[in-house]
Amino acid sequence: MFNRLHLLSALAALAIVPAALADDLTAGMKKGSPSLKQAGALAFGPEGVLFVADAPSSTIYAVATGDTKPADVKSVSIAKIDEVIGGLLGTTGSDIIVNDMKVNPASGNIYMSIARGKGPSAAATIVKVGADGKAAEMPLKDVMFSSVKLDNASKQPRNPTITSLVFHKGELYVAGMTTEEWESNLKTIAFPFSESNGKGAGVQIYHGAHGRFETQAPIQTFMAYDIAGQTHLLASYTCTPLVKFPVAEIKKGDKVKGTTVAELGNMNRPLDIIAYKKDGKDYALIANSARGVMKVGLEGVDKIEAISTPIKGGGTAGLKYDKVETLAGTTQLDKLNDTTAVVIRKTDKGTSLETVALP
Amino acid sequence: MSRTLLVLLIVAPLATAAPTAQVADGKIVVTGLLSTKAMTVVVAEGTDADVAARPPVTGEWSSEDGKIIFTPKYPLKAGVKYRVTGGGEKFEVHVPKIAEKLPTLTHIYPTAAELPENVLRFYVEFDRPMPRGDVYKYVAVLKENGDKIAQPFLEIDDELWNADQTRLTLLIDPGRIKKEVKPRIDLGPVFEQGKKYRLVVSGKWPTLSGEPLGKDVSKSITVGAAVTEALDPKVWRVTSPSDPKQTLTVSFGRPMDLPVLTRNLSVIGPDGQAVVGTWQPTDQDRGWSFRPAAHWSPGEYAVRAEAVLEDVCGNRVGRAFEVDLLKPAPKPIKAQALDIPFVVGR
Repeated sequence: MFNRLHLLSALAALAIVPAALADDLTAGMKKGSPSLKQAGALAFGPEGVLFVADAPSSTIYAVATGDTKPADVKSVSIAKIDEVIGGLLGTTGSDIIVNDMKVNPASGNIYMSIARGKGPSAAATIVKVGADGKAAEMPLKDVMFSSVKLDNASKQPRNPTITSLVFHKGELYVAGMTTEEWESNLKTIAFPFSESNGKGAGVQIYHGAHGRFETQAPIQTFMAYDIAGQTHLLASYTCTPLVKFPVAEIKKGDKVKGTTVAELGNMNRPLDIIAYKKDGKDYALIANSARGVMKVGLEGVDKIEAISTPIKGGGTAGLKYDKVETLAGTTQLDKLNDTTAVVIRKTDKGTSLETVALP
Repeated sequence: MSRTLLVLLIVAPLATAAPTAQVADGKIVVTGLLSTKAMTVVVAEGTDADVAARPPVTGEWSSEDGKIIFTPKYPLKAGVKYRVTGGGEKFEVHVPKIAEKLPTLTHIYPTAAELPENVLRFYVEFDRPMPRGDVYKYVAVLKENGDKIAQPFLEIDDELWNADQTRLTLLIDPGRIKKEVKPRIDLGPVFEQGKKYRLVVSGKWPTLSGEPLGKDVSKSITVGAAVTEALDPKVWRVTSPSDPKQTLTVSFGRPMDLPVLTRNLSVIGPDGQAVVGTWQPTDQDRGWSFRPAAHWSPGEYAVRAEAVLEDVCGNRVGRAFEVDLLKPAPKPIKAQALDIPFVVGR
């Protein structure tokens, strides 16, 4: 009897934990219809919470998608995804901009932030693709959502952009730039959003070239990655090095300088970065504007102090990488599961959405 | 009985007319069909395979006055064909293009013809909104011999537009400005002192209507020495108005970033409040002249410079774009807002 009671209470506790967690995540959310001026950078939190950056409104929305159960997404291939989304939204593919693409880790469904049109009044929406390979708009009417307005230090709006969003262990990291001042702002915002959590600590990110020349360095794309038990951000700057910095640094002071762990070369622009494990080793996969997709071995990233001498010629320093030729033209990249990634690729056949094996 | 009769009365005239579909008030109106059931609209551009691969356009069907009406969720696009199917019928409707005035490029900033080697930022301004996406295909920096410089700009996915998309910010690739970083080591800087260049905005750039912009517009650039020091408002030359009707002038000694200046330089009156007035850049963005809305009253004023002011190279008050940590600045300047006092006499 005692044992049975014990078991029951243990089961009850198990049943309560996820419910309590879900309540926490939706704390502060209200039912309504977020009016997005722009659907930009995306990130998923746990339990299907989707973060959407709306840079023109200096706002991040958190939407409870309700998409919390595995959807058995294994293989997806949609040719001319821009035309498919365009068709859904009543226009041609040339009138569609896919601003970002992320996989919901809770379900495996694929979400894309879309500008329907290219003018200032372009409609913003989110399009979802599931296991059936069909594109459909995510409802944004009468959904549970919350939002946080980012601080804008200047007296008047200065057209901020949000280059990348990452959610990790209860914190949302927001990297941005502005159309005017040279800034390299990175904000950390605790989620659920609340008044007491504030609008996030903002730091300026710096790049120190070989311990000597220091500049503010906006982040183009980044991911969270635990190194020796400490959460780090592995980020690529607009001036191309791949750097690491511990998130603990972001919380103190107003200035953080990343440690360069790899030089990704010139004429190149990193677009997306994900981490994965293969054969017991950690890798980063980076989609680039010019160099296709790079697979970077992360072994030894904990030991790299900094690249301290200039790299001459076409070579690179720090962590080594391989080019993944088969993924050339990748403009969006996210992880579906331990063995598969989802990519949007531009090739001579058009723009496609595909699942690919992690290299 | 009477209901059946009524229905028959409505159906009878419709049955004789051939069904039609047309666009009216942003909706697709179908006559001659009775049910909205299984009706679809698809975008009918491209090959048959393209059309077949498209999902139906999102929207709602309704019936009104014997017509069935499709209200799209998003506005139908001018110049696009749509295929309406259902009730055993297939129609194609075309949304006519609207003649729109094309945007004109009105300014390229900085205005100065001579710019420092390490210039960071350009702005291209239009009188009407331009489309987002693909901008970097249509802007170029050419050497004097006409050769294109490969990837001179920092290409940002979002593109750096103002809210109404009439002004594009172009940043020179910071990797080509910063010292000892790989892009500059391998490729050198975009601009070199003593040389001449042209920043060209292509006339082939498609506008929102799809029509090209028109003519190429270019700005000639002569490159001078790099400006690597932080801004120091204390060294600016402020000339007080000599009488109540005169303008106040400030000389910065280097070309400033005008949009940043617009928000971050002001005149503070004897009462501590901002003086209302108008200003304009002078001396190719190296200077500033200010005329108050009312005449100057005698008293103590100040030019207030916010710390985020930047010159065209991204150097701020007290903080240069790039700092050489091994060579501390000879004269440290505080990175803070600063008031430069001036007096208007009687």
